[in-house]
Amino acid sequence: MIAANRIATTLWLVSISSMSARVNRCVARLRSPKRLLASLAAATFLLLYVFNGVMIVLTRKAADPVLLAGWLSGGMAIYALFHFVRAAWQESDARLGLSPAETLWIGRAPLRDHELILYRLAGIAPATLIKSLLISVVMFCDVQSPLRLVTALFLAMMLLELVRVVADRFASALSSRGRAAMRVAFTAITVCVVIQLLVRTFTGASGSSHPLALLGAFTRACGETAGSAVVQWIALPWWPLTQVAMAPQWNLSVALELGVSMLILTAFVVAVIAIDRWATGHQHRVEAQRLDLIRRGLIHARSTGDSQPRRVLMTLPHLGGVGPMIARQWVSVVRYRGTILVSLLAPAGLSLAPLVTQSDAGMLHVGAWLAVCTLLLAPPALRVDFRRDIERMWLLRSLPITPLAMTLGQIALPAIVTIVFQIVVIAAACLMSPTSISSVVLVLGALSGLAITSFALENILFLTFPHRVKQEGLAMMVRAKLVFLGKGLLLGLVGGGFIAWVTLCTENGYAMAILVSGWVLASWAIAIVAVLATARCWKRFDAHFDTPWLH
Amino acid sequence: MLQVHELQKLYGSTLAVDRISFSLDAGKICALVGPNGAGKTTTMRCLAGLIAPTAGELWVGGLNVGKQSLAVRRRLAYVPDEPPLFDDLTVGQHLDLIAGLYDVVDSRSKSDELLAKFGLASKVNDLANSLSRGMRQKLAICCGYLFDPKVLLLDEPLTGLDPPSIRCLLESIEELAGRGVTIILSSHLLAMIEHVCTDFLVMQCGRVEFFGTGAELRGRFPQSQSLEDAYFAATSQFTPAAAVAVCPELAIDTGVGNSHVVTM
Repeated sequence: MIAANRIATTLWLVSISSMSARVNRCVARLRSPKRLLASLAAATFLLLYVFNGVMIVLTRKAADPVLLAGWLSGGMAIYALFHFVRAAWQESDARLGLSPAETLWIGRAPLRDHELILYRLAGIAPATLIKSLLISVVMFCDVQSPLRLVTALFLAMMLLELVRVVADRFASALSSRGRAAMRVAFTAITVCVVIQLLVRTFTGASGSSHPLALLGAFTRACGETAGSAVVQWIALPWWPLTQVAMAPQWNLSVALELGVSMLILTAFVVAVIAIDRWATGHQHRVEAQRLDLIRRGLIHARSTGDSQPRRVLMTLPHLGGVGPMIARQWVSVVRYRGTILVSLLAPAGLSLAPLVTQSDAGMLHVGAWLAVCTLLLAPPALRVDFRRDIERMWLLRSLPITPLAMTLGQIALPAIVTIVFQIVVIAAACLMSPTSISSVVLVLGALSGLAITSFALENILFLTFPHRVKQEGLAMMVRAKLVFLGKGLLLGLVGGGFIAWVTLCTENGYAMAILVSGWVLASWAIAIVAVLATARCWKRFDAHFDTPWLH
Repeated sequence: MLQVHELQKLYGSTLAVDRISFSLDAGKICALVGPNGAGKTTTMRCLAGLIAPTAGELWVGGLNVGKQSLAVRRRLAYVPDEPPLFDDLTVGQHLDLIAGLYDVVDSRSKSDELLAKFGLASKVNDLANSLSRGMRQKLAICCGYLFDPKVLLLDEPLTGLDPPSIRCLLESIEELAGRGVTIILSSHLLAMIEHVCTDFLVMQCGRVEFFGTGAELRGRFPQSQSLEDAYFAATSQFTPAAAVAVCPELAIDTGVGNSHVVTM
């Protein structure tokens, strides 16, 4: 018992020391003069977010508690579904999401399975608590007790984390055939949910194509989908917690629901242990069967000494180093082609949906949705740029390539893939609803510039505030929210700029050619500036200061 | 103290370790040598319980590595090549962590002693991410030593160390072996470690090419000028038939396919 207490205390102290060092480093980086502008922008966005939350609380009517409970639990269920889809498509070897250092020193220490899981949960607890507080900001007016709301949200998200671990561990143990089946099953479920969401959105908008009407309809559709019977069945483990959040006062019923929730959490911890053991055993059985087949001569084993046929890197013109960099990125794109294709399917459906659901929709509607997808969905789907090279920054720095060539080499391929995606969607839109050539040139010309701008901005942000692949925690959560808000603001500016330009051209009687070429030129001018800014960020990138974990 | 029986490890369709067997008594220091990709690190990771073997049995102090993993972890320390450390913890906090996890008695004086021995005393409050490669290696070694393991696995521990640190490490290894600790030391610097090692396990392409003492290895290749020459000869010429011809007491068990196992 004393040893167990000492282990618990040690792990707690390690978590605290680690968090304190991370906060100090984050503050030091925010105060760094080279990041002053970016830090100010981040602080402004954060203030706007909190101000927006406060305004919502002050101006909005309280939501129906029954509906809200359904939305909350349903939202968690949909998030859980997302974890399963991600686990099915993403290759991950990290057991329980532990870092290499944790795997070696804590995973190999004489800890029992449940102690390791509790350590993992303790590690994510502070960030989860802050997330709960941030979500609570916009829900304070819907509940009687903010404390109950925060408690329920915190426990609900911890439960969600356990679901994520179950999904990851389950997927990691599957054979290639099993993983393919998992991908098909969960992608099909997701497609059904997305279709449901789209149908509800466009039905709810009653044929209106006004952005605000669509946004309102989309929000209602999210609530309706989360509250639907099927999703609610999946959301059963979260039901007691939503009841706690919505309860008018503390009473025996709330205490019982909290107790049931704790039991459910414990059951999930046990489930994680069970699935981890199953996964380990299953992996061992699959390996042993394969070895048996090799021993019987039914399949051929490669020895580490066997020579392999050489794989050749695609040959492209050198162009100051841009060509070899693109050829190298191409290998990654080919390797992850399945994942990329699937992640671009939903944006394609989203962009073409207005042509099916709205009678007055045209190329501009498709273009507007494509712009949203290009800015918000393409960069996460195509991480084949500086973001993939965070562990190789010293190597990139040592290459004899100018900052501009390096930037072009890094972002050209993801931008080209996005432009090809845009062309395919616009071609499909033309087949579904024939349109004028000037509309196609306008949309495609502007969107291709936006694709380059989008990846340039993503990399500017990354080079200014670099982070490791799959990094989690509070800073990442705040960062994700700020990036989303920033991109939303940018989309608003793009839309506003377009309307202003169209108004100017119409009032002055400019020809269509001027309207189109002006807008396309503006879009490409912004793209060029963004690329030059990215090159400058790469030039100023200090691998020693920005990536202290690399040695 | 340490027994490996018919260990095999398959990665996809690559057989990284192919039916290797050997055993070491308490107090032995075994050099695990072989060219890159020979399966040395995989063997060590299997012994450390970090990866599960595809087939075979591993025993540490009479405990089965797969079935009694918790007890094995208390007795065995593993220090990998380029050890990952916690970037957010100081040198001292790393040792505090290990002391807490392994319930080390009188950990503060032990850790101070180790830090002084390996020249890290002045770095006790430095974050791990500010350490040089050699210092990171030394910190990981200190962590491995702190809880007095019965078996110590050191994967390429000399990499990045300066000459005084190498001497210090080798002396400490001999000292531990004198106290009954069984040590496996993987290294390419055979000339540096040959005088401390009692046994040599030569691996190539996942298989054991030789297991025995340094004298036996040199005896196989009398024309060799040094142990290193004998090692080169072993990894380029050694075959089961040659082994039987040279040393009849070696039991050769020719397995299925091309694999073979040499046991003492």
